[in-house]
Amino acid sequence: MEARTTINGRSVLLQGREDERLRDALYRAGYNTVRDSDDGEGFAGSDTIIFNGRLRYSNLIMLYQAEGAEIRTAESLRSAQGINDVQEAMVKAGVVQSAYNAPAAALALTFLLEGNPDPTKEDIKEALSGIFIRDAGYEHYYLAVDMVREKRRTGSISLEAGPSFRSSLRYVGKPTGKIDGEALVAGDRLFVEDKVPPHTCVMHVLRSPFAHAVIRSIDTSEAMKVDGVVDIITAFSCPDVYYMQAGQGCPEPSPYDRRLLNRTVRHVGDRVAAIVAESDEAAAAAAELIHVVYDPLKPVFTVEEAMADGAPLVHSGIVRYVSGAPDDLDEYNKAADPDDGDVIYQFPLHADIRHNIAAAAHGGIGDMEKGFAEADAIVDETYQTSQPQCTPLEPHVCYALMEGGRLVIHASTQVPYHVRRIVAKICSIPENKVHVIKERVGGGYGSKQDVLVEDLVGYAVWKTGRPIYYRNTRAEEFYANSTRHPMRIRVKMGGKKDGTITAIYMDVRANTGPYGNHCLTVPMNASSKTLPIFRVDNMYYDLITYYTNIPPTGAYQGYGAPKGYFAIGSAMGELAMKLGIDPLEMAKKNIVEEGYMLEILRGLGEGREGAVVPVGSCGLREALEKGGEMIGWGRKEDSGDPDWKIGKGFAMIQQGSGLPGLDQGNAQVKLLTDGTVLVLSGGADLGTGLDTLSAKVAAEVLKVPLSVVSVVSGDTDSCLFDTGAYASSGTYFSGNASLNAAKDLAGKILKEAALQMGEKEEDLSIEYPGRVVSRSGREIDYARLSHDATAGDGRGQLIGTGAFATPNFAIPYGAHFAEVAVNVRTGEIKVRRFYALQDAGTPINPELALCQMYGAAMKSIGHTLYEDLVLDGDGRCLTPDFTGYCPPMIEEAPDDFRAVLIDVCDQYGPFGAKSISEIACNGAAPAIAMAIADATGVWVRSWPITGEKILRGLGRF
Amino acid sequence: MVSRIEFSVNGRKTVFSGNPLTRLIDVLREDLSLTGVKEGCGEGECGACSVIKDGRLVTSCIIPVGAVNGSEILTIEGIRDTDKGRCLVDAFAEGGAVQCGFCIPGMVMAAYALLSSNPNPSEEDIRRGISGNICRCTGYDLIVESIKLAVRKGGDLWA
Repeated sequence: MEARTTINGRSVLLQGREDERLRDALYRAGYNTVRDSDDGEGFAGSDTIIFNGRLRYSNLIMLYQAEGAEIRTAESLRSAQGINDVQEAMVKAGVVQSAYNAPAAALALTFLLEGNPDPTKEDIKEALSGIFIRDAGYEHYYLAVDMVREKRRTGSISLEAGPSFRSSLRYVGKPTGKIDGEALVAGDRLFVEDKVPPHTCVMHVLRSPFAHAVIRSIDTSEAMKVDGVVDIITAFSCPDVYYMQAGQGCPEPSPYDRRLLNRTVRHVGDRVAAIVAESDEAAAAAAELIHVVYDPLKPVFTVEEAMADGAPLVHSGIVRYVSGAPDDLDEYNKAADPDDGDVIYQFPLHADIRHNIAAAAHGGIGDMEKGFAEADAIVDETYQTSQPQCTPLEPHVCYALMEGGRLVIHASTQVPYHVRRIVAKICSIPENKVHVIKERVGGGYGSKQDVLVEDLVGYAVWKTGRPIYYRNTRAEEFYANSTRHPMRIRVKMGGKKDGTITAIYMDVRANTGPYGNHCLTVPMNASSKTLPIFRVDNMYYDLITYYTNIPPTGAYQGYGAPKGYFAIGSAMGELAMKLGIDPLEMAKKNIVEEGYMLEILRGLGEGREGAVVPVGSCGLREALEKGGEMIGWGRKEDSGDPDWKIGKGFAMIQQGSGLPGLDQGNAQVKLLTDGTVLVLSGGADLGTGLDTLSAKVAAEVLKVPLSVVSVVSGDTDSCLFDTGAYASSGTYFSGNASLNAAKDLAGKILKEAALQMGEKEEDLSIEYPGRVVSRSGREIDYARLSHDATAGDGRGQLIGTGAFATPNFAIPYGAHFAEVAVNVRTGEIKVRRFYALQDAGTPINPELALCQMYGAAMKSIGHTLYEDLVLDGDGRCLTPDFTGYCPPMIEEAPDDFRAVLIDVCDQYGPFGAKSISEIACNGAAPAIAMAIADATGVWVRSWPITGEKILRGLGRF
Repeated sequence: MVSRIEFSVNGRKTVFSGNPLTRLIDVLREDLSLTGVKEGCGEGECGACSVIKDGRLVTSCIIPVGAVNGSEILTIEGIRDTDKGRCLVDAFAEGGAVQCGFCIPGMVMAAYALLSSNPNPSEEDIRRGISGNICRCTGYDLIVESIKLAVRKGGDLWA
C-alpha cells in the first residue's frame, strides 16, 4: 500500500504492506534516525517520532494508520547550519555516547522545549520516560536542558559539563565534547544496519527448544525447496573446527568447546541450523520445514545441580590440551563420548568436565587458621548473584560480503582483531583474506567482546559467496547471547574489635552455562579485583566454575568484580555490625595505599603466576572520606513516616586498566600533506570516547588544534593490531599507543624540520598551533614541512608509530554511597541518594567519564534491584523482552545522584589517566545491600534485592 | 504506467512490476543486485552491460524491461559457477586479460556467446565476437589470447 504523509514538512508517499510497522517504512524511506531496539515492544524508544503533534513509538503504529499523518523525525533537527541547540547541548553534556537512540532523545527534548521553554525536572523526566538509556545514564540530560535554556537566554553556554584537570594541558582533562558526537546525535548512517544495501540475503537461526539434547538427524530437503532459500548450514555440514566465542587474547584462558553448530545442543536457544535466504519470509518458511529429531537429555541449571553426584554432563566429549596435557589424559578420555564434541584447552585450567567443572583455581597469602584464630568475630555467609543481560540498544548485528576474493565483515564489536582471527580460523583461511570494519557500536558493555554472530555470518558468506545481513531479535539477545555468570560466593571474614580484618576467605562457585566463554577469568575477577583492595595479611580463595544448561554467559562491564564486591562488601558490613563498629571506619582501617606491595596478586594470575606489584596512584581513602561527608555518614535519617525506614551504605571498589602482560595497543599518527593529522588506532571505540581520547593526546603532543585531528579506528585493514576494548583497556592501552605514536611523530617532525631548516634538532621545539620554532627565531609550520617532505624529492611522509604493552598496573579506585528508603509494610525500595566517587587518574574526557559513571551505576542499580532473567523448569527464558526483564528507566534513577572524580595522577597512564567505567558497576549492590540492612536490619544476600525478600527477612510472611 | 513483466534471470523466474520503459540494466543492477552488469556509456556502444537474451548477446542499457517479457536473461552471475563460466574466468585471469576489470564481465559474456555458437573460432571470429566491447586498458590482444586459451583448455566443453 501507499500512505500519503507529511514528513518533516515535506509530502512523502510511504510504501509498504498495510500491516507493516510505520517504523520499518520510515527507516526504509531513508529516515534512519528512527531505529528499533525492541522489535515493537514499545519500551526503548529508539523508534520515537512526533506523530500528529504527539510523541509516539513508531513501532506501535501500523503503516495504514499513517495515511494523512503529520510526522516529524529527528532528521528535522539538523539544518544546513548544523545540529540544533538541544543536540549541541547533549554532545556538550556528554550524554551522546553509543548514541543508538540519541537522536530520538534529542527529538523528545526538542519537542518538550517547544511546548514548555522552562521545564521542571519532573517535566524532563516525563519527556524522557519512554526512552531507555543504558550507556550514559539520565543525569546529564537535565544538564543538557539547562544548557539549552542558558543558550537561548544569553546566546552562549557557560555551564561546564564537568570539572577540568591539568591546567597546563589544552585538551586532555577538559570537557571538549566527543569528536564524533555531532554525527551521532544527528543520526548519520554510522551503524552496521545503515550499511546494508537492498537485496542482501538474510540469515535466520533455528534454535533448540531443549536445554540439553542430542540431534539425531536434521532433514533440510523440504526447506531447501522453498523459493529464495540459498543455503542451510547444520551441525552435519559446518566446518569441523573447534573454537570459542570469547574475544580474548590468544591463547585464550577458555576452552575451545564448540563448533559453529553442534550435535549436542546445550541450552534453549542453542543453534540448530542457520538458514540463508533472499528474504525474511523465505527464511521463516524454511525454518518451519526443517525436520529435527532430538534425543532430549537431562539438563542441569544451577551450580548445586551441576556439582551433584551423578549429575548429567553438559560436555562429555574428548578433552584435549594444546599445551600442558596431564599424564593421565588417555585414561581420562576413556569415559568420553566422541560424538559429543571436543573440549580443547589451550593450557590447563584445572578443569574436570566429567564433573561439569570448566575451570578451577585457588590461591592466597598468609595463614588462614592463624588469621581466623585472631578474630573477635567471624561472619560466614553465602551470596548469590543473578544473570543480568547487557541489553545494548543495538542488538548483535553483522553484515558481511565477499569483495575481491576477501571476506569483508561490518561488525558492531569491541574486538575487531579477534573477530578477524576467529572467523579466519573457522573458515580455514589466512587472516589476510578477512577484513573487519568496526562500525559505530550501539552499546556493547562486554557482550560485544564475544564473537556471537560474526562467526556464523562470516562463514556463511564465505561458503555461499552471497552478502548476508543478520540481526538478533531482542528475544535472542536474552536467551542466545551472553549474560553475567551467576555466582554463589561464600565469604568468611574475621575481624578484631578495633576494626582490623584478620582473614578473608572466598569460595566462588560460578555458573558458566553451556560454553566456557571467560569461564576462568570472569569468576577469577570476583577475587582478583576485590581481595587486592584489602591490606589484610591472610586471604585465600577457591574457585570452581561449572558447566550448566542455562543461556550462555560471557563478559559484562565489571566482569566478575560486581559479584565479588556484592559478597565481600556485604560480608564486611555484616562483620562490622557483628563487632558493633562503624563499617566505614573499618574500611578505612583495612585499605591499601600507594606503595603497598600487592603480594596477593601472585596467586591471582589468570592461568599462570601473577606478578607482584605495588599499589600505584590511589584515591581510595579520599573517596571514602569525601563520600562519607557528602552523605552525612553516621547521621540517622528519619522519614517522618513509621513505614518508611531510611538507611545508608557504601562500597569501596577497584578494577584494573586492561590486562598488563597480556593486552597490547598499536597506533599510527600521520601528518597529512597540508599539515593536518590522522590517527589510525587499533582501539575499538564503543561509544565511550576512545577516538576522542586518541585525538586529544595527539593534539596535545603535536600542539595542534583538536579540530585538525581526525581518527580512523578499529578497521583491521587500515589500522594496527589492538587486543580490543575490554577489561577497561581502552584508555590505558589504546590511549598509550596513540600517545606513543604521536610522540614518535613529534620526533620525526623535529628531525625533518632540522633538515629542511638547516638547523640542529636540539635547537628546535614544537609550538602551538602546529609549527616548529628554532632558537634562532626561524620557524616552519606543519603544512610547509609536510608539503616539502612529500613533494618532489622530499624524504617521504611523516608517520609516527606507537605500541603499548606493559607489566605495570594502573588500578582505578573508588567508593559508592547509597541512601535508601524501605517501606517495611509494603517492601517498596527507593534509592534516595547515590554518590559515586572514583579516581580515574587524569580523566581525559571528564564529561564522558562522569556520564559513564552514571550509566554504569544505573546498570548496577538495575542488576541489584530490578533486572532478572528468569528461566522456567525446562530452561526456557520467561523474560525475553525489556518489560519482563525490567531494566531501569529514568523513573528508577535515584532522586539525588552525583558522580565525583577524585583527582590523582597515575604514573603509567596516558597523561596520568586510568580506566573509568567498569569499576562503576561494582558499588551499587554492596552499597544498597548495606543501606537496606542499615534501614531494616535485614541482609538480603541474593540478586535482585526485592521487597519480598526484605519482608521475608522481617518475618512478615 | 505500471506493467507486470515476467522473465527469467539466470534460471530463476522474476516478476517486475513497474514502468516497462525502465532499462533492463537498472532492473538487473538495482532490483536484483546483479552488479556484475556494468554501465559504461548508457548508449549501447561500449558493451560493458552485455547480457545474453534468449541466446543472443545484447546491451542491457538500451533494452527496456518491457521488451524481455517471457525472455531468458543470462548475466555474468549466472555463468560464473558453471563449468563454461569458470573456464572463461580462469582463462581471462591466467591469460592476463584483466587490468582495471570494468569491461571484463561484458567481455566474458561476449566470449561466452561466441564460444557457445562457435566452439572453434578463428582469431578473426574472436575479434568479431568482441567487436561490440570496448577495452581501454589492454589493447585487446591478451583478451583474444585468453579466449583462445579458453578454447584450448575447455576442449569438449564448448562442443
